[in-house]
Amino acid sequence: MVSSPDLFGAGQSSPVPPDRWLLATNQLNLCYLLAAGMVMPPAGFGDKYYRDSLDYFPGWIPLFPERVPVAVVEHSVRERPHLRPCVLELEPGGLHGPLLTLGGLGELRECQFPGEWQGDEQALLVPAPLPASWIRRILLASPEDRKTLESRAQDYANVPLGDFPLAVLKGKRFPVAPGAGWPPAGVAVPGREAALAVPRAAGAMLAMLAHLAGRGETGARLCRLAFDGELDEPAALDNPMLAALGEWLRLGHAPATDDVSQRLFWGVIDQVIHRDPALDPRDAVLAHLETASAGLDERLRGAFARLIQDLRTLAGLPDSSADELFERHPRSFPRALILFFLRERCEELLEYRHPALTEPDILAAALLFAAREGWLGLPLALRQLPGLSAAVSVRMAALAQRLGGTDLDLGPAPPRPRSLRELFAPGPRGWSKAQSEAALQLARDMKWPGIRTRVKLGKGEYRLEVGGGGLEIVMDGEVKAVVTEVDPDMFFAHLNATPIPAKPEQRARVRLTA
Amino acid sequence: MAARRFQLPGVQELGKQQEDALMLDRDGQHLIIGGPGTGKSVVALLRARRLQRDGDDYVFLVYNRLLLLASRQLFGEALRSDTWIGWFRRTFQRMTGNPTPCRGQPWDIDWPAVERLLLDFTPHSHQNLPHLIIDEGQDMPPAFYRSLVALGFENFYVVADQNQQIEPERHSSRQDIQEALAIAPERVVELRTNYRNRYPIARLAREFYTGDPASPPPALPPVPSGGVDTPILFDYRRDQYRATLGRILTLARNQPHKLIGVIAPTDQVRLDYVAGLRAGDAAAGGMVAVRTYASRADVTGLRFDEGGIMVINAQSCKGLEFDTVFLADIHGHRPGGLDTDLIRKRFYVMTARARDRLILLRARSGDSPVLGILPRDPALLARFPRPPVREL
Repeated sequence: MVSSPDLFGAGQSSPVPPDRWLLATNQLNLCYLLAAGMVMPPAGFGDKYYRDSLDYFPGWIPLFPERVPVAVVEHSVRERPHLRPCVLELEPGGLHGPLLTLGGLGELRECQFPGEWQGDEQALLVPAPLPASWIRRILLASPEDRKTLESRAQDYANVPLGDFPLAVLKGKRFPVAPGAGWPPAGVAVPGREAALAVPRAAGAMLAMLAHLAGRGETGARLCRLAFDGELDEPAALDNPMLAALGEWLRLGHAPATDDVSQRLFWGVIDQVIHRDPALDPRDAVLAHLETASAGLDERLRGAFARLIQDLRTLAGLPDSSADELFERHPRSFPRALILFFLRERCEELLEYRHPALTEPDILAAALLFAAREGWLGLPLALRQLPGLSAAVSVRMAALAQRLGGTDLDLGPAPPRPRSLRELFAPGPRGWSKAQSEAALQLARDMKWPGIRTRVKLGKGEYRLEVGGGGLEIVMDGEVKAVVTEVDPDMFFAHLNATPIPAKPEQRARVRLTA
Repeated sequence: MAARRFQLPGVQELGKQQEDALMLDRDGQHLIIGGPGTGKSVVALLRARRLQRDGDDYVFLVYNRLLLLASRQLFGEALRSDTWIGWFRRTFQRMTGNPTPCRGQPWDIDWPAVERLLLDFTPHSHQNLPHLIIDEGQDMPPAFYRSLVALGFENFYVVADQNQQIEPERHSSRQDIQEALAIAPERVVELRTNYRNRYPIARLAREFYTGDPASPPPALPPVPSGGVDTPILFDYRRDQYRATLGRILTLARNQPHKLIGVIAPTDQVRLDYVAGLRAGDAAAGGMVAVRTYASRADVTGLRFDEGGIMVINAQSCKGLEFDTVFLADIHGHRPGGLDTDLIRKRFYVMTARARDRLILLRARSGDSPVLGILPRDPALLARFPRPPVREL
């Protein structure tokens, strides 16, 4: 049957791009990009990149609809005999903007995605990076490959393989286009560099602030600023050094300012992020302080000279205790630097407690630590707040796209994770049932004081009996109610002051959302 | 004291060479060669974890009881580990029915006698023998490896650095291990890049490298001079001894989750430091755990999974790792008299024990052949107090 031509185009609609896209790589690169939270160009892997589909057009991510050319899968495991292939299924739902496509005959086209999708393309070339949270499934060729991948991921502290579904393909075959060579001959795509250092640091900052948001109001506000880019009220954060985080995230570098602490602090952050990898980050800090303090007035110069001397001694053979150093340097900027020299890893900072330190001291230090470690350096334990990884992954990639000037829109980012402090915020009539139960669970897990039990008894006469097992109240009939609860004031005092391990926090969150 | 645990590496911390070593076939004979800081022990441990996860039988063999304790405390009791001598003696007796021939002391195995007994031994072809993962494999004699093969063991994963020998007369060279286990040269994996050590510490260690091409030193990129983590040579006057110990204690209090190793040249120096550190700590309120160990002593009470200070002598430091290392009174080292080659080997081993920070302590009046092997370049070893600038 031959259909009659529709002369007016009625019934014809623009081709709709597929909702899943395929990326071919190998298991070791997969582990790296899952840890990094982004699908990155080869340069993002440092010196640990194994050649895969990402190196055909450096800076561009080749995504295939439906099938991957078999040559691409083979290329992805050629570098080492121990490499195993895998194909990632991505769902870039919110992707909008300019990118490149390779047409059916291998011709390169500029494309405003998704509107200019023509339907005959063999691949998208998307400016890197993309969020790793867009990976919907990891396709593997065999149960053995699945076992190998699971085993490899467990060798590392920061590969969140468990966040992603694995699928072993029937018949041990990837969705490949057989016989197709790739890339098409004669295609020349200009290489591009992706800005990854700042997004990685920003990712770690988001994570640290998500963990610190429960410690106090300043942390909660700074967390909202970092994730959502705005504050409920402009004057809500009265610490200009910390408040400059919003501007730093917008620009990708230290904003210009006359405020000395703010300028030096964000200058230090920039130096730590962009340091020579062979250089100890503490040296980057000292070098910046020495250079920057030269332009200060004599009084400030003297103060910075003392701080620099204290930091140097702290890194070598120290003659001052932490107490003495905090007493000598009462402001947040030098205290953050002292912490930076006293502790190495983000989780160590989160566990650190000192009575002299204020909330802004810790928050400033958290930003510095995040700049040093980046999201890639964070162990899984710091990524396990529900929703954190996805929220950070999309924001890191979006920031990289913005700083790279690609005009690519990744769509709305997932909402930020809410702190326990927010989740326990009482309503007009106090805590809900779920909040009360979660508070009790957390207080029990953490062995906090402030748990009390209310026993409601009916009217009557009671007899107290003291025996070997303790005191007993004996009465006729039944108890009306036994209510165990937590004193909210004591609960919040402990919540603000105590580091909470992942498991109790997880249990409390489950109860809160039950 | 704060808890201290082994941390798995991040994916970005393990390089391609380490992964090549880790991904070697599960079965067979493998030799991994690398200098200090190349991460060979981490690779060996990850290998053991994999075998454990897969339900394979294995034993992780270490050199002495101190290393056994450290590996169990840091990696967990689930790690199936043992000391190589104790394990060998039990295994030999179980498999052959004969007690292991020894020369007097139980740890002094009579290897020629062992090998003579094994000439008549026929291993059962169907027996399931464990995979052997051997750390610091250079410290076991060639006869150990030959005897294991004669007993029927087939699966070896040996990590070694030929230059980390404190008792060179009892070691195996790379070639010895290759020959004993029939490993083809092309199947040996060489780790040449630095893993976790701070570059300046690995660079200083290389100054003491005695130049055996069979075990290459790690490749190191150029490091800017004057960095905060440059190892320090601290010259103290006799009247500054207590103050110097006070600084070690301050460091321990500032970083209670870190383990500080103080490595002494002699047992007397070890005892002096222990007494001085404990007295200093007691005077300040007793916040720091100061522990000590002498060769072949009881290891009960030693903790590698807590911060604090551990004072040991040079003979016991092999294979251990501390966050900070103080080489105490370095003028007291005299292994082999004036043989600077032996002194260099000892310093190569001792310096490589430091993960983050390395400080050499010397009484200002002390004179010793050690001073002749220390680099003059302040980029490699910063000196405090700084030497006076010579007027031209």
